[in-house]
Amino acid sequence: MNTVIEEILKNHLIKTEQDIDIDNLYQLNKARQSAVDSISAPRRLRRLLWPTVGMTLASVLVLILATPFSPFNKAGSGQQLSDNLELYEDFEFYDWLAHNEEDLRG
Amino acid sequence: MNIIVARGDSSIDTAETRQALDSFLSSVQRRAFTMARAAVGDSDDAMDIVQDSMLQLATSYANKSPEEWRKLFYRILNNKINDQFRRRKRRQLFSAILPGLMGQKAANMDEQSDPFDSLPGHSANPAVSYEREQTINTLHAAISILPRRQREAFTLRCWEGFSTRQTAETMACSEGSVKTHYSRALESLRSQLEGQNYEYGD
Repeated sequence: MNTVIEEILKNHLIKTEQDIDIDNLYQLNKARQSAVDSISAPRRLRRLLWPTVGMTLASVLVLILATPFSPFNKAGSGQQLSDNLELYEDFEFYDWLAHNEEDLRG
Repeated sequence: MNIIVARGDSSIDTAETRQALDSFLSSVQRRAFTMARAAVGDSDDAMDIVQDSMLQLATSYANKSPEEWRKLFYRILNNKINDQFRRRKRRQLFSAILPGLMGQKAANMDEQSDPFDSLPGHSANPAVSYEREQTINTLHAAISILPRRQREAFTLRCWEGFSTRQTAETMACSEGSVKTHYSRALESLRSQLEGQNYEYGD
C-alpha cells in the first residue's frame, strides 16, 4: 500500500463492506453454515460406508466361492474327478500286473 | 492403543476444523460478497458466487491448513466470478442469435447486469447517505469494467491486502505480471474516477 489513492480506495472499499443489507447478511450466514455442515457429512458417511462396503464385498465373495454352481467349484470338481479316474486306472493296472506275475510263477 | 488415539484426534480435528472454517468464512464473507457484487454488479449473482465458493472451499479444501484457506478461497471466488462473466457472454450470444425467443430474457438481463443496480445504494439502508451511495456506486462500477486480470490484481492487492507474492500465487501467475496488472488497474481506476469527479475525501 504505497500511494494515497490506494489508501483512499481501500478505505472506501472496506466501508462498503459494512453496507450489506440484513437480507443479504442473513443469506451469507446461512451459506456459511451450510458450507461448514458440508465438511462433516461426507466424513461421517465415509466412516460408515467403508466397513459396510467391505463386509458386503466379503459376503459376496464367500457366496461366490461356496455355491455349488460357482465356476470355481465346477473347475475344481472336474479336476478332482479326472484325478480319481487316473488313480482308479492305476489300481486296475497294478492289479492286472500282480495277477500276471502270479500266473507266470504258476 | 494408537488406533484409539488416532480416532480420538480425528474427531477433535473435525470439530476444530469446523470451528476454524466457520470463523474463517465469517471473516471473509462480507468482503467476498462486496467484491463479487462490485465485479458482477448484481446482488443475487454475487450471493450465488459466494455460496458456491464457500461450499467448494469446505468440500474440497477443508483438510488443508487454515493458513492456505485465504488464498484458496479468493482463487475460487475469482474463478466463480469469471464463470459468471462467461455465462453472461453465452446468454448474450444466444439472445443475439435468437432475439425473438430471448427478447424478454435479454431485456431482464440487461436490467440485472447494470452495475449500478443492487449496489449498497439500493439496499434501502437509511443510514447510508446519498453522496456516499454515489461514491460507492461509482467505485464499484469502475471496478466492474476493469479487465479480468486487472480486477483480480486490484481486489487482491489493494482490497484484501495480499502481498505481490500472495497475489501471484492466488492468480497463478508471476509476480511481474501482478505488478503490471495492478499498476494498470490503478491507472485505469484513477482516470475513470477522475473523469466522473469521484469524491476522494472521506
